[in-house]
Amino acid sequence: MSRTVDRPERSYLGQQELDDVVRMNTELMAELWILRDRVTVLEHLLEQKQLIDRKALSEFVPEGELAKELERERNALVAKVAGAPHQKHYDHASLAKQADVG
Amino acid sequence: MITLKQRGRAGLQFLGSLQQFSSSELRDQAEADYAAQPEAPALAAEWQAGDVRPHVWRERLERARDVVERSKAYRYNRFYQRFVAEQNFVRAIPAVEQRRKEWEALVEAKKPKDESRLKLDPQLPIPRWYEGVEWHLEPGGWDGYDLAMPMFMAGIGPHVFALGGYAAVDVNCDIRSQRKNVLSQFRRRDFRRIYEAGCGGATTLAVARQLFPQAELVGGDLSPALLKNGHFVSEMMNLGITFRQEDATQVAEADGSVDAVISYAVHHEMPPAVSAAMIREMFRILAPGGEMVISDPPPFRAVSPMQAVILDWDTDNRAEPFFSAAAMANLAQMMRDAGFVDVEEYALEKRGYPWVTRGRKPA
Repeated sequence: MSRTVDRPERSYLGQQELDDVVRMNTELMAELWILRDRVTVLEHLLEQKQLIDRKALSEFVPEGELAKELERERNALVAKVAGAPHQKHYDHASLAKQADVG
Repeated sequence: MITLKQRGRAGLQFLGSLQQFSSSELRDQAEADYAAQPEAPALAAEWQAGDVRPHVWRERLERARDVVERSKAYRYNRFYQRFVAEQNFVRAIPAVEQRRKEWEALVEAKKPKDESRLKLDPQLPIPRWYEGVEWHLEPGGWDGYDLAMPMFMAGIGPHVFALGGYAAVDVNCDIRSQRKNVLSQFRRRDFRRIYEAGCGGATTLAVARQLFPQAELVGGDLSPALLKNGHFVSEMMNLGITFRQEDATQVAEADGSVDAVISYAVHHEMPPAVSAAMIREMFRILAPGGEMVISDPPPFRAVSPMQAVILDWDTDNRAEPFFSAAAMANLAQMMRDAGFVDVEEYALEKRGYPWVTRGRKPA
């Protein structure tokens, strides 16, 4: 018994590359859910210990340095994901800029 | 029982949700798309012709599949079905490995004191049709993983399978009440000894214990791992079930020694010729007046062309090598040929599942 199951060679969506992309997307959806589940559990536990108030968390408006930090992170994420198909090359200068994020 | 860590639990729950979505919204859309195809009425009429030879079924199924696959919703439905079937193990194995120590401690603490009700036979010849199959895409098959029991009981079972929506099992059905409903199809309640052919673990016999509290319960299966798991559960829950490793076509029961035989979701995992041999063997061990109830996925002739295409899909896409052959066979006729009388076949719920075939040995 091999104890190894092969991935299918056939395509379910008409083209192998399309299957690959949807497979990646579905894996990401799973990871996204695991993270959301964890954040919800985290909020619940912190609230139980009276360290946070979930309502206050929802009502909270970031300001000042925190607002700037979130903006930087958000813009970097958008540029990285939305810009991926348009990235013609990479160099030291553009990569070094990413060191400021996260 | 153990519980999984957050990552493992949430990952499997995601698969459950994806499977539900795939088998409800996408499935409904795919059915609507299929119904709108010009070939659909003629295919439905053809299906009424009932039993035909396997090569005719194959030709019919391929024509129906070509029509069904025009639906984008269907193609995505099948993609997600395959994805979930693989990911059940891809996600559950690491999740249960994180609990290996806890599980092994639990097994040690609850180790059955009485081994007399577990009879394994390491010399038992394993049939060629059974050997090497990685059923349902499980790496190593039934006997390939020592944590298979917690993997199903704490992981795939409650988070994915319990929601339905895979193979013949309809979405949102209650697989636990289905088992009870199937066992309620026995006409009598006064059985003294009940045998389950291809019992796997203790799932069906545990339900039988509720319905037949006084009966002696015996289960036979080829898989030592599943039998050990069944024995563990049975002893822990004081169910008093005897488990034997044996081939269902040649069991260690004397002629006329049992009052009832159940087989649950077994025939689609064996070639039809083996099913017929097993039914003959069950007839042999039944006492006069004894009953046999079979529950399995429905035959192609009992479902719509689209449902038949979906059942047929499992053969090549979910490691069910005999699913299609079984769906082309006729268990009711096999029972009649073996000598059973009052043979009936019918569906208990929608889309033909569970499909029950039952009969009685003449008194």
